[in-house]
Amino acid sequence: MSRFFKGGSNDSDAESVDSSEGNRVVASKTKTEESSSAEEESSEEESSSSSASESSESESESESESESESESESEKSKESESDSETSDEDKSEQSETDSEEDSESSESESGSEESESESESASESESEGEAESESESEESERAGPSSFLKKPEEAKPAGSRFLRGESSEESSDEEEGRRVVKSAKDKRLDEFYSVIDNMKNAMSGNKWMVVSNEFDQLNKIAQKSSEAGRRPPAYIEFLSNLDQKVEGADKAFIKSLDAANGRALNALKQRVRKISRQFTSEIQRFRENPEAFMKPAAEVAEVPKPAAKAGQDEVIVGGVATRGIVAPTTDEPKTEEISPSDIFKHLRAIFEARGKKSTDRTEQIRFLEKLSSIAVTDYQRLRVKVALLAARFDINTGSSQYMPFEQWNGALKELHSILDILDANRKVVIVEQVEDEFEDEEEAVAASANNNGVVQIQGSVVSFLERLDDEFTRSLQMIDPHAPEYIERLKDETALYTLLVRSQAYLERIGFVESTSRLIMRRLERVYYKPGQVIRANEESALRALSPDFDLAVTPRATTDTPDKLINALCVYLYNHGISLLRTRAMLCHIYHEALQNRFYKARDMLLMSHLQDSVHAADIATQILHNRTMVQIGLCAFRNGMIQEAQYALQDISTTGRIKELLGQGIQAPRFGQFNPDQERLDKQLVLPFHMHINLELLECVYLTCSMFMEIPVMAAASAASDARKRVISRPFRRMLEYTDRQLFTGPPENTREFIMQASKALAEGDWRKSEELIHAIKIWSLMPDTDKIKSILSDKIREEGLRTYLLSYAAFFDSVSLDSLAETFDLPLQRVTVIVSRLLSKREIHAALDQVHRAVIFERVEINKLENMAISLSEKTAQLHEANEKLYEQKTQHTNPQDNRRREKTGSVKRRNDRSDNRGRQDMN
Amino acid sequence: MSETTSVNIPELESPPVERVELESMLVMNIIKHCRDSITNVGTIGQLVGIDIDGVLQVSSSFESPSVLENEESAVNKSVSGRARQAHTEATLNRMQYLGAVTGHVGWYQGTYVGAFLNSSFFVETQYAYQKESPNSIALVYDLSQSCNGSLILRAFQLTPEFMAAYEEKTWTVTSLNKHHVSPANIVRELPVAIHNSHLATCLLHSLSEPSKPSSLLSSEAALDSMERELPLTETFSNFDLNLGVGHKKNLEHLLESVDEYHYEQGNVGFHQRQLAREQAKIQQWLTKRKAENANRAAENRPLLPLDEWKRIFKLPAEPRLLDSLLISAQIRQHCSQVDEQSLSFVSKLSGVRNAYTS
Repeated sequence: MSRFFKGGSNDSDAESVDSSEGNRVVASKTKTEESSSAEEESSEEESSSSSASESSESESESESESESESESESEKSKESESDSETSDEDKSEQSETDSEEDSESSESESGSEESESESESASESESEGEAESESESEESERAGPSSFLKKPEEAKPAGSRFLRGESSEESSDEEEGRRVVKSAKDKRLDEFYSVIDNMKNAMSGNKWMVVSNEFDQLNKIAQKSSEAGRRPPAYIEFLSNLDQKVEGADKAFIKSLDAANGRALNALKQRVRKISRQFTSEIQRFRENPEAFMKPAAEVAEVPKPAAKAGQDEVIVGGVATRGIVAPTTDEPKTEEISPSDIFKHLRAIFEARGKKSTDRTEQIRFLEKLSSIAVTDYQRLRVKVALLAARFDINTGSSQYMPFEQWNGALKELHSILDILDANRKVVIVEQVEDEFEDEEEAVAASANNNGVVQIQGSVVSFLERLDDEFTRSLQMIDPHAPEYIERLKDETALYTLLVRSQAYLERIGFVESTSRLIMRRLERVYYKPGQVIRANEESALRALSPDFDLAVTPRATTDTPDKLINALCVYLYNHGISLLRTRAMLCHIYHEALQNRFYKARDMLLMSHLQDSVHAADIATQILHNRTMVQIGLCAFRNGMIQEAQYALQDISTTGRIKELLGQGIQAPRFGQFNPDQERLDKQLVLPFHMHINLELLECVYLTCSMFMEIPVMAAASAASDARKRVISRPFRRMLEYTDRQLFTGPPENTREFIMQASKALAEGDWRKSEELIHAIKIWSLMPDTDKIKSILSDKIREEGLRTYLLSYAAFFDSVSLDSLAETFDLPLQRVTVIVSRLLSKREIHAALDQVHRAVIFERVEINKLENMAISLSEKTAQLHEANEKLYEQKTQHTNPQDNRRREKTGSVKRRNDRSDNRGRQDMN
Repeated sequence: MSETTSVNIPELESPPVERVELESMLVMNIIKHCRDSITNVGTIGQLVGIDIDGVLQVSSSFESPSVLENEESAVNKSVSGRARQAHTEATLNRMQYLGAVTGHVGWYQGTYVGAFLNSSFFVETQYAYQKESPNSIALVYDLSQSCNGSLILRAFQLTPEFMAAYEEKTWTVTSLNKHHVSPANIVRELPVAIHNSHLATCLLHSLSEPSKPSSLLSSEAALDSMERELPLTETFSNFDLNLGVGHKKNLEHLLESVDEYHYEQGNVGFHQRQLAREQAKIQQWLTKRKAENANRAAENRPLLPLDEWKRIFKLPAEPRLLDSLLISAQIRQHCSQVDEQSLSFVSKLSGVRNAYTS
């Protein structure tokens, strides 16, 4: 409606003025009614002040008049301000508004011509506008400034009318009209003033309870409007007045009131003090010069507005121009008319809007994309692109989702183009710390004079890359690894890697060691877990994407042509330049790579020499996971090299915990005992590695169990043969599984890896090495290992050897002598090997025997410990225990300064001495 | 045997016993009794005799109902104790009726490898006896060595220190310290002499004829003929190189005792921790109270008593040390036995070695 009325007012149509005047009267009436109703309420509470209320009513009326006047005044001043601003602005903008103006005026004319017929549609569009304003407060917000922009042009012909005090009707008409159609802001403003009126009324009537309530509401409104960018100066004015008034109320005055009101006044006083403290400076300013305050405040509040919502503003400007007819298609051409020099202003606006709840991020991105196409100079382009990247990363806030692919790819391209620009124009750099943030390019360039002519831009390539990398990982974490989507996603890794390599060149050029090491760490983490061929392919494809003369300082092409050299170069750089965490991680990655390349001794030596195992417990969880992975990889490497014992030791720690998945970062622990902690689970999920980095757990288990079998079976045989064997358990999980298999009444043919190994173990324990070998070879998972045949042959050898040992250990008691030849034949081993194994058994005193070289036989000796000897041994152990406990007791006692026990200790000491003596006897007896 | 009136001599006036003389018949009696009930460790009987000038002459003995396994509980103890008492009195009455000596001078117990001190039964009984007449003795017959041909029969009395400590029955550290009781002086051993009656001596002399073999004492088949001729001369069983069951048993008992001792030690340790905790609490309370008193003194108010903690806090009861005392004594006993046995064995071994090398 307003527009039509506006048009009317421009034409100074008397009728419309009249009607609007009528409107106003009605409005004021409603106002008074409101106030009177408020009055009534309060009069119920306080009947005595009815006369006062009457007077206040009249007062309020006059006040509301003056209010509306002052408001219109302020509006006018704003208009003039914005007017002047627009004139300051570029010509192009001017022309834009002009063109808008034209179209609008023509529309409005047609509107006024067909006002009768159109009124319906107009009202429709209004309601639409209303709905819009309600649904998207920002947009309606925007309607405000845009109309301000237009206004002056319209008003110019009848400019004189807007002179102060000329016609309050006119302005209020304006206001009235605007109030209906326009924004929530104006609604708020109206509400605001009505509240202030109410308060003033109530104050004069000493109804402090009412004042207090209204004050709350006022604050709320002020809060809202300040969120929207502008706090009405009238608020400060009122606050100042209220402050004075409330502070002026002395004790005697409060006492004169009745209890409820007094209390309300006191409470109000507190609150007013509190709030006015927030605005001390404004109030101060206001008190010094009320007039001046009202004006600049309006200005200040107004200026950032077009900028603040610039991102969406542009679109809506078009929208406003065609509002009522609904033509959003006209958006596009309008936006192109942003001049490059405005870019910084828009950028600033976007930065201000960043992180706010109501910001529409996709809209921002779209806008920024447009801006980047407009940008002319490198500086501008970089600035826009940095902002665009930030906006892209902002697109989702929660950690529960990953960045959409198109955004990710967009960011990737953005970074590439940033690097393009940076490579092309070496006078511009992006750094994390810029001394001053410049609005304009000129300023920045000027400032760069004292910086060797290099223009600095706030931003961080490394951070963006890291973020990109993280988002990539996160998406991999969330995509189902068995879906084709995962593979698709994984293909992007090459692009990411290429970008990493490229940025490395940039960072090397600008020479930020810390950033470079961070980046190199990322690069290392992308390659360390891959086999050599994959790294090579990766590297080649990355370099192919880059120009042929592209080279790096840290990893020069010439010297890092093999994966090993590459990893080495990366790690060495990190050892030299990284912070301690990066050094640790680099070390682990390096070891991992070495283990993966089957160089067990090198990996082991590096691990031991770095002393990582001592300090890794204090490291962060991700590093600990990396450490565990490295340990597992070393174990697997040892196994591939046929070093069973080393493999078992390396895998022991991880495998016995029963939480392998968690420790390797390949899954999260199921909530135990219903203690479900969503936060914890979320954090855990973040640590889970993407599927393609996983170490095959079944293979791990298989290797571990096989190693355990080779070590445990002979030990168990030795333990069952010797009567006094102490129970030495090497691998608890293995023992448990074996026991479980033993308990079963019926053992069917093996089905899974575990069963294969268990049955093989049993066969080995019985000396049936052929069956054991057969079963072990039947395990399918060996095919996952490189060189399956080699591993199988290693396993076969191992099975024979351990079979021989087991055989000797368990059946030694039944033989007087065994021929080495027959042993060699039975176990299909060369005689020399048999001799070696037997000799080792003999030297470790695992079997009591002698080797007869002449007859090539093992001759067993039997030494049996009799009962007495046994007892003597156990006695000596027990006395030692007793002694230890006594010492402890004595220590406790002396701590508590109780001297009584000394004697007692001596006594037990003497007992011990005697025991020792008897022990010696026992030993003597044995001999 | 002839002095039937000696019963009327009040024991209190007699000097403490320094020596024990046993009639050989009595010894045979005891051996027979203990051997017959070898499965039952708690074989006990009563000794009848007379003490004259520090020499306790024990002339005869009779069996008592044996100690049962389940006598640990108080009820069973009192019931069987009363039964024994009644039996003893009845037997003594009958002996008096026969005109024999009826001075009840102690009791005997059959045991195996010297394990008699580890339960409180021995000291309890002996305490009761010594309480009644201070010159009562306890004879301990050890079955284990008999098969090796040596007789182990020892006479014990509780020491006055232990008696005094037993009187108190607290068995705390302070009490033991006061009476100077240690594992070494719980019992005192009296020298034992076996005295043959003239009739027995005569019999032995008549036995010196080689016609009467004594298969009981023979061990070596090769020496059979010799033994047949000299029934009462030395046997060669001493040259037996087998250490015998006794030693093994001894070690077993020793192990057992050590375990028990370990348990007792745990008890003491627990008490100590408990005590420390309690004392810390008391200390805390005291400092608090002192601070309060300082305040009160400043305000001129009456001070609060400082010894109130005795009411508030209850210190944990000290564990009875009797058991650990006895176990210590028992361990001591076992150790000395190991010493004795090994001593003879080692000498035997070195003898054998010399025989081999020469």
